Amino acid sequence: MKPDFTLINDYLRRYYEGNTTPAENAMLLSMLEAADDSELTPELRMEREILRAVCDSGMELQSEIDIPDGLEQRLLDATIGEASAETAASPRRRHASGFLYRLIAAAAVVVLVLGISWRFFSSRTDAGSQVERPVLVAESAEGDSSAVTDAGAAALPEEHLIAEATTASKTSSVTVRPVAVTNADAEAECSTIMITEQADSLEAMRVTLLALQTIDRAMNKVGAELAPAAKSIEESNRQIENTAQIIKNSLI
Amino acid sequence: MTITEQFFRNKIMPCHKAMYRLAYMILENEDDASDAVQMAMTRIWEHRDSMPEIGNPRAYCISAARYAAIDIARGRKPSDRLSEADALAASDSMDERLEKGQELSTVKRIMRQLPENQQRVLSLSAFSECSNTEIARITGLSDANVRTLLSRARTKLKLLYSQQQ
Repeated sequence: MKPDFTLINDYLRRYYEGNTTPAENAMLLSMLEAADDSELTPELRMEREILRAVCDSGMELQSEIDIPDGLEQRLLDATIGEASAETAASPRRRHASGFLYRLIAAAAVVVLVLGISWRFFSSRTDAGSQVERPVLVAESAEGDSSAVTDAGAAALPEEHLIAEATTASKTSSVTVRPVAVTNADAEAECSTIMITEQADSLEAMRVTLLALQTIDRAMNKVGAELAPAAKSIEESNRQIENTAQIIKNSLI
Repeated sequence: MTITEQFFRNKIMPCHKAMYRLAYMILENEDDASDAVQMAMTRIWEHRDSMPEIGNPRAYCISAARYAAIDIARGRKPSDRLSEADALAASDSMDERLEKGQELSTVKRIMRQLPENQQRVLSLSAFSECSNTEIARITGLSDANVRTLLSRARTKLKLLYSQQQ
């Protein structure tokens, strides 16, 4: 078969431009080698000789490269060897890992429950301690117009008087139970209010308003303290759900 | 196609020498070449259940080794690669370097006379059968520079070869 000189010359041009692919280089050499010497010009014979020499040099260079000792074993260990080790250990490993997951899940559930319980009860304890703190007790005693002053009140240290009637009130009266407060910041923390006998209805309303404001502050404080607990309960619920899912998956 | 262990041992593993030599020609480092072969073998083994039909295992393995070697070459520091500035600036200088005590073929002797950047690019093209794009990835040069260096190297090689004949 006569060589396609158009194609050969085109490949050669692109070869010396650096524009051929490895496959085209191989095709160029094979076309030149397939042609008889008589069919090729001296230039093309030179090109064939150069391309053949380059190809031979490449093969020679590669054959001179020594293979590192132990490469084959290393490759086997990295492929088939690891697969064999995994297969042999997998049932035991699977069994051990499943038991471990269940154990971890159970421990996580216990920790979560304890955490939630502690948080819940400690919040209630705080609330209880607030309850146990001095709290305003105001009782209205109908008909009792006397301003009651507890003889012991004056003797109690650190009394916090929020409102005090300045005038005697005849329309209503309240008993006063002053409560001892030991905390210097009790006015902000506890809801201790002392109300003395109100002689003036306006003053009574003012005092009542102050009392309500104090109660409101106290309740806001309790609400603010309970908010993190509520948030942590939600978080704990999410974690319980995740843990349950893990347990479920490990049992499957 | 699923590659069985037997097929892997009998058809794939024997190609590791050719793979190593090709990887070495690209990376010019024993450890990197070993890593490239291991990477290629591991990839083949890990995907043994979803392989395409392999008509020629040797060609497939060599191709895998080439890709792995190129990946490793690309991961090298920029200082290990040819710099763009040096590549073209040094292209006209000629250094004579001959292997001591070793008779080289005409082509090898001529190649040793080429600037290092042209040697590298020509070696990757001629001996490792890398495409211009792959050479660019390995060396960090642009495609245009690879083409230019190849053109100069092949032209110089032809000139010197014809002078020696």
